[in-house]
Amino acid sequence: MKIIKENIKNYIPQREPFIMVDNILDANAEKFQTDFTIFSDNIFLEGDKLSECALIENIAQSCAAGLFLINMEKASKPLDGFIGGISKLFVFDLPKVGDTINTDVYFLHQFANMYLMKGEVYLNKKKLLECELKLAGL
Amino acid sequence: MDIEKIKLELKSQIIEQLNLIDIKAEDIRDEDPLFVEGLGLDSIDALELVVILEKYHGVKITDETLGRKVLYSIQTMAEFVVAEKLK
Repeated sequence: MKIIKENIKNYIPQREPFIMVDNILDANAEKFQTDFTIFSDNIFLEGDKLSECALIENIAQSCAAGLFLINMEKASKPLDGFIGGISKLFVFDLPKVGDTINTDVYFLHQFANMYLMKGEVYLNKKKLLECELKLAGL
Repeated sequence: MDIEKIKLELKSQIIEQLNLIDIKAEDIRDEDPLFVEGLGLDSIDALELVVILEKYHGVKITDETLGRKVLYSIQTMAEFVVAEKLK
């Protein structure tokens, strides 16, 4: 299943300039995959590099998009939620303007309206960042 | 099945999983509420407790109402583990 950038606002609650996901490349019950190209007007740029906060937000938005996509029969609109916790965070490198990052998100656990997800962000197959997110209220 | 051993394991696992660096296992009393008062956990931490029960003790909580009862204290969590294992 693929959702293109022009339609991404139908799948996440965020709006410009806070959108940190372009395309949903695939989504199934275990894993979601997205990509995102960094332009010079990104609000999370520090110099010519995207901050780690933006990469974490990219993972969170990838989670939101994927969870909505696989739950569309039950949910009528993009899912609102918040990051309840970040753990096991490792930052290896940061992307710069012009780069396109690829993000893999793995569904680890759900209890009530809370989700434990693992995210990995790559640039040309090199891992930039990984972490686990606790998401709530989705 | 030794419920006292399970309670000790749960305390250590909660401290490690939730990174409660200022708390020792002996600081957590069996009957004290885990949320708000007592240990002071919040609702998001409930997710970690469910993961601990499944990952380390092989028991699942899928129902939110049951979760509220089971995750009340170390005592209720340990009793749930014992009951599920005996099924």
